[in-house]
Amino acid sequence: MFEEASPDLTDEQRMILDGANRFVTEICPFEKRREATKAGVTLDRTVWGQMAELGWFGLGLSEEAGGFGGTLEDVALIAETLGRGQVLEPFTMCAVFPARLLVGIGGQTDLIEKIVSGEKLVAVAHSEPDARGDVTRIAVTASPEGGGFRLDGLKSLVVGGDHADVLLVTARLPDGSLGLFRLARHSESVTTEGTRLADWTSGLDLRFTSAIAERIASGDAMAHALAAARDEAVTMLCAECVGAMDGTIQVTAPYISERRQFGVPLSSFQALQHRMADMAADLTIARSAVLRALSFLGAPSAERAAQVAGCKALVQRLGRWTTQQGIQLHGGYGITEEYQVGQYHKRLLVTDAMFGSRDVNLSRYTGHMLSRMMEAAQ
Amino acid sequence: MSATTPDEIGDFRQEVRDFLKENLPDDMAHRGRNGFLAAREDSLGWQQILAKKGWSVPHWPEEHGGPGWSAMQRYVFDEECYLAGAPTINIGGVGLVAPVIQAFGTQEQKDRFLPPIRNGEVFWIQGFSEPSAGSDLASLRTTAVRQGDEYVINGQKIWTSHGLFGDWNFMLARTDPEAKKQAGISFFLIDVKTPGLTIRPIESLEGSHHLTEVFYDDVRVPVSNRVGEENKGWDYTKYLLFNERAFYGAEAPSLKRYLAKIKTYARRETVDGRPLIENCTFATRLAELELEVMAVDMTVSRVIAHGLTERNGGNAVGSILKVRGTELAQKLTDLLVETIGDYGAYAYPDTNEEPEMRDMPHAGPNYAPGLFAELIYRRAASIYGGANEVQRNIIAKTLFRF
Repeated sequence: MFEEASPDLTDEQRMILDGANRFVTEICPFEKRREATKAGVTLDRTVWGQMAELGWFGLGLSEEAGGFGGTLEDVALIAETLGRGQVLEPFTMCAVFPARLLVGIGGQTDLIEKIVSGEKLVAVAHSEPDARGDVTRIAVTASPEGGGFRLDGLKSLVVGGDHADVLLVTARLPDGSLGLFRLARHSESVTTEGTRLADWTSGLDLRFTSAIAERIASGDAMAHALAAARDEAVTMLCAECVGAMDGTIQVTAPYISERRQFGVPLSSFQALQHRMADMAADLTIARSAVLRALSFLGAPSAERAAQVAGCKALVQRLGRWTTQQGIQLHGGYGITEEYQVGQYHKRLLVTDAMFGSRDVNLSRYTGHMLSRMMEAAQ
Repeated sequence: MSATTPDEIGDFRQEVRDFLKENLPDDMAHRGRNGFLAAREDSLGWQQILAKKGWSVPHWPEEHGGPGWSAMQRYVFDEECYLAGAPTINIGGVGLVAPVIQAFGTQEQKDRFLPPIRNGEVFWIQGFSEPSAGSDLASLRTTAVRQGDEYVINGQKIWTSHGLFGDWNFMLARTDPEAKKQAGISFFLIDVKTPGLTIRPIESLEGSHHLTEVFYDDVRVPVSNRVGEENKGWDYTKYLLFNERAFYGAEAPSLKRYLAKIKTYARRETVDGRPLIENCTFATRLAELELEVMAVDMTVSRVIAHGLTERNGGNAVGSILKVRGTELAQKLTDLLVETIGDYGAYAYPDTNEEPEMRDMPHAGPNYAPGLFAELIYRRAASIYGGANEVQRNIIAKTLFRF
């Protein structure tokens, strides 16, 4: 109901949106998702290949970089639709994030090409238990060994870590500087802990024990590329959350119109109407927050990082509330696995944990606001 | 939206800033920056200054003297005026009644009423709410009975803002008592000096008298002062209320001004010898509000850039902005008063109502007067323009057809 009403979209974006909506209803309907989750399948490589065929993994990347052009707004539109459609496959974390990271460091054209074509699935092992979105907080070590490096330590919340063909790992060199390393996933020296994430999507711990890897970037260049790709990925996760909020509203409105209690439809109660109105208001505000974050992705790094962190803090707050209300308005059915509404809330909880939760990101934004105030005062 | 590039907007913003620097009188700006509502002479005086430049009616079509700006230029203009402390102009005239006259008035009404509004010569006040018709406006009971070339109006209006400043009154009265609620209402323009019309101030919680009651006791109004058709006034009112919500509902520029004020004061105020802003809890609260203000502001920009109409979901977006914008105004003014610590508890005279107090010394920092009044005034924000609960009804009905 919101997209067709939205005057924001260009004709091209409307086509992208139509395509994404068709993908969700034809390839990834909720019944199929239920089958997959019952079977414990967190990621289907056939579906992944179909997403690649639609050209989504090259969207927002220039043709020189191996992509198909288009803007990050276009990418966000897909992320939002996949969030609304509860698609399990990790578009943001295993396509957008690694591809943009690789473009940022330069080189690696073979791997970018294979990400775009869907041939290789790449997971980025960047997080550690106490990093909370600070991608420079790294304890995993990289020690020179022969012509390559030996990785040791633990990475957490590696989305796609079990399905990937290739891993990109951040680690600390003996001199204290940071590096980005590439290795094949199926190495005996990489073991897993955990099985999947709470919303049925892929994600787990990877433990590296003398795993041999190739260094593909280091120093400031790598740190800048990593921060930029993180901010782009966080913005896309926020777009997914907006999709989840929209989806919550779209399944809840008809539910309360059909469900009757006390002899009348639930939607005839004003308390529920007002709750839905507030959910819709929060959706509008959250979508604007994402559009605003998108407009800062080309800004200087400190400003960009702060605005994206602020967007995440706000969207997580609004999204958590809206998806909670979706459950509440469904009554007992809201907490059953067979209803879609609860899946949206779980997605909000899982994305909150990624790249630092609400409070961590709010503190980041607050710090930036204060330093800007101090600059202005001088 | 016309093709206005970011660079052109930057140039335009600079042009507006330069104009404000040269033409906005210091004393007016000082009064505008404090919390009290603008005085009549400031509202009209500023309108007159703008009229000389041709900038007094940014939202009007060019045929009626508008400057032909893009929506984004209008927004930038409003924002710069707010930030510079320019007085609020008479929205009742420029923003509410004028568009109705332009859309539904006769040529004679346009020629007679629009130029004095544009030039800041008359102050217009609204006569909508009644003691038993607030959120349920269509249940209004003031009557207008046709007698020859005149209507005779009897009844009472309430919550008329700035009633004591008023020269002209636009108002709604029932012309067909038999018709269904919305169907029997007409829209009138009345000179407040007409015999039988009296205006009485209401004392607000913050001590000011900007709110008034208007009484009509056999007030005779020429038929030529009715806008549009008889009994069609509700349609014109819906048009007016939509404009009000869409363009003024969120009041995004004033939200940004509150943020700027809080930041300025929180650097100067100290707690335990350290600037207040260094208090982590305070700073986090402020940051959280700033994020939401910026998202509301972005929503306003989307509305402006993509042209909002009733047909593309505009109605709900107007209500959404009204609800979220007014809630933010309330949270921000709460924080604003907390910022000044002890002096948040002091009574300060409204210097627009008591001009002799303007240069008198007062307790506390020079920015303290008016903040408490602003907080109280903003408690009305979730009530005026259709209570936020009514807006939620509108949102639910528009989006979900409940």
